Amino acid sequence: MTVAPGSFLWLLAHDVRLGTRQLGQFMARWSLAKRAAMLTVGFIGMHALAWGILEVRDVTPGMFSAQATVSAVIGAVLWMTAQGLLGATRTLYERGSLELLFSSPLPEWKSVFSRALSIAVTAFIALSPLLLPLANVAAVRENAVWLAMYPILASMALAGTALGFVIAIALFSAVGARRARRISQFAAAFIAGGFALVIQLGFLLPETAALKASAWFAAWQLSVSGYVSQNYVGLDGLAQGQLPTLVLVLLASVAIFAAAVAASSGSFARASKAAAGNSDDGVTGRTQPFAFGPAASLRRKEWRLLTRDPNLFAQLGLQIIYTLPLAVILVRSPKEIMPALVVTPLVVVLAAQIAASLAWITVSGEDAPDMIATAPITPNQTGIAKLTAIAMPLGIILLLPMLALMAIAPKATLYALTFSALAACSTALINFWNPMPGNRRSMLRRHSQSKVIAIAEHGLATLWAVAVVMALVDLRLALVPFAVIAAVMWLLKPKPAATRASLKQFFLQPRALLASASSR
Amino acid sequence: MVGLGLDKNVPAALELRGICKDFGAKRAVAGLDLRVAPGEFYALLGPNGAGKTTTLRMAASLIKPDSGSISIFGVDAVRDPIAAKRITAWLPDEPMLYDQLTPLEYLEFIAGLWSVPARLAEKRAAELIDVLELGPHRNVRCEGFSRGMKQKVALAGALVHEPRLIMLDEPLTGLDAGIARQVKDLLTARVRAGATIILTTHILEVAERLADRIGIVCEGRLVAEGSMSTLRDQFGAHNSTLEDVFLSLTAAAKEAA
Repeated sequence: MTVAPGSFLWLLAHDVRLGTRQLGQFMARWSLAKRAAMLTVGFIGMHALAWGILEVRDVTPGMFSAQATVSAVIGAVLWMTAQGLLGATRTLYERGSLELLFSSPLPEWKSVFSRALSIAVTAFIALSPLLLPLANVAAVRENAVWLAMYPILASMALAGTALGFVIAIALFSAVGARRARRISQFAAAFIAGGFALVIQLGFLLPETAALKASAWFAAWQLSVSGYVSQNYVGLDGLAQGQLPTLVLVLLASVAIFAAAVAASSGSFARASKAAAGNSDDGVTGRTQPFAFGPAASLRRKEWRLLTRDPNLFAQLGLQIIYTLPLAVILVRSPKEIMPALVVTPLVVVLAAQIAASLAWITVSGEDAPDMIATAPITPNQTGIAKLTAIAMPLGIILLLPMLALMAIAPKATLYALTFSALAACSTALINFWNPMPGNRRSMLRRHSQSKVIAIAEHGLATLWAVAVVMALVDLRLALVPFAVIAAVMWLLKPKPAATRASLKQFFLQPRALLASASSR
Repeated sequence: MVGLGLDKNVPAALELRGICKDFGAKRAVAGLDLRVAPGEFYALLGPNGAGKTTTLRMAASLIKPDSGSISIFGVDAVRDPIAAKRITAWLPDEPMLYDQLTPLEYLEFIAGLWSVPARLAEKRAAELIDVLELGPHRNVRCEGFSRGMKQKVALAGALVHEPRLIMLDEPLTGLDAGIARQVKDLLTARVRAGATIILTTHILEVAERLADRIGIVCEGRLVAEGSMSTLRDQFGAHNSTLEDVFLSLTAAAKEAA
């Protein structure tokens, strides 16, 4: 089927292609055959996993209550809204993204509508590998009604994107380009993390208050779902996959999406033009005297860039907020050993993950690598300066849980400090040893660059968490994870070409290596 | 100034001997020899893909040559790149800036990397900002700057540590007439003050008007070199332009390859 150039479908295909290519960035260098093979493996793998889950937990249509459906819908719509808000913000501020289309003879509403729909489609595609295999397998094993997951997911993508779009435009109009960008990135992070935070509220509240809140929330859910089911949609029907309800939900989502985008398309086009040419912001009064020396200059530069990066700031802010419930658990805990055993490894994991993110930002996300490469300093000096630069923000983030731990379990704090430092060094070092140049704004998608490094980061964080628990019980036990960590670090450290070739031969052609050794 | 590049007794600002660089099966630079004298304004011309940028990136120690030697004011840049980098500056065609830093912060950063004492760096930064008319934008983050503004900030960064050898890749591309004039004036002033400049450009008029000597690179080799009058005498008619000389030389080199 050919689509007429300039038509809405043609534009949509263009935008969806850009969106999906961004999602599948990690496959960009693969051949077509490898891509097809990996997608097939992924498809089969996810369905096998879904089969395994449903083997353990039997499902029948209508097994979920209306309350559970409301919770699931709220959670997914929150996530989709965050995606919509981020997508709208990205579109607004990427210079040239819409400028080309706006400079063409196409009507502006068409470009905005197409971009909005592509954001919804991309959000749908991003979430579908997690949910749709379950629906497919359940449909085969139990009842075809589970295929209703498809229109439900599409509805949520449309509604969430519409909401995200409206929020982005409202922020832009209310607070201006620069603040809107920062706030929307914060807001998207908090919306996406909203559900996790709500769940953790239970830990923050005193026991009696938590019970009351739980009862209130259940009653609210019941009343909302009851009201909606009686008056509008029939959430019970949605939970059971009834066709009229599904059609109604899908139509309502399409209507909400169309209305929201139509109402905001004019504002969006104006905002996009204003944001792209925005140059009157960013005035920074400078009072500090010049720094002296490469290390001090590099550190100061990294700190400035970190504090002026709204996206990263939002992510780190979230990390801090996630530590709050941990701190409260500690304060409320009557015993010493239990919170120490639970919380210390969590702090260590947090340190490892944040250090990895910051190291990637400073090393791989360097905006001017060539300029630094022409400076009269060695790569090691640069690396050390950059790694020491991330120590300060890391320390600030970990301060709160460390202080709380110190109040409850001073000995565990010593372990937490030591192991956090070691964990942070290890994950930062593997990023330093294996730079993967990328735009610092792509920090959240950095793991798509190298699956090996992604797995190594998570693996090291887990190993350090295991090590600190073992050390708290008996230091000698920690030798085992230490050994594994050392081996992982050795494998990931860059090696001379000759060593690399030997290792490759050893792992890929062990027989040939053994044969050559025996012939000698 | 003309002729200094051929004087073997004066340590060259930049001396390349037989440098080669391959990228996979493609030979980017094929045994290139080049000698630029101190205080000289040298223009390197060539068609797209001729190897100009690769040559200068090797001289800036950004990539290592597969073979050959590079000497900067007598310093072996392959063996001791740090010593060579102390006295050189490299300005690529796309300005390397940090969107979230202001011009003043950027200059502070560069000065720090080259270990320029803080007070001296502040003085030089203020002068450069003044000369390049960046004053009203000194404390504004670079993210919204036009290409010309970014190029001026990057150029200020290349000059703040007062390098003896300045290498510039297409420094005037995309600049309006006013900014281009500012940049040309600043570069000429630096040469008068004793610095050596090597630039690549596709704007032949710039090479013709500014450069003491012109080198023409094609297929990774230096196919001709000399002052404008020398090139005209050797390779063209007496009244031919640099464009005529350039086109006939590159066409001949491509045919020979």
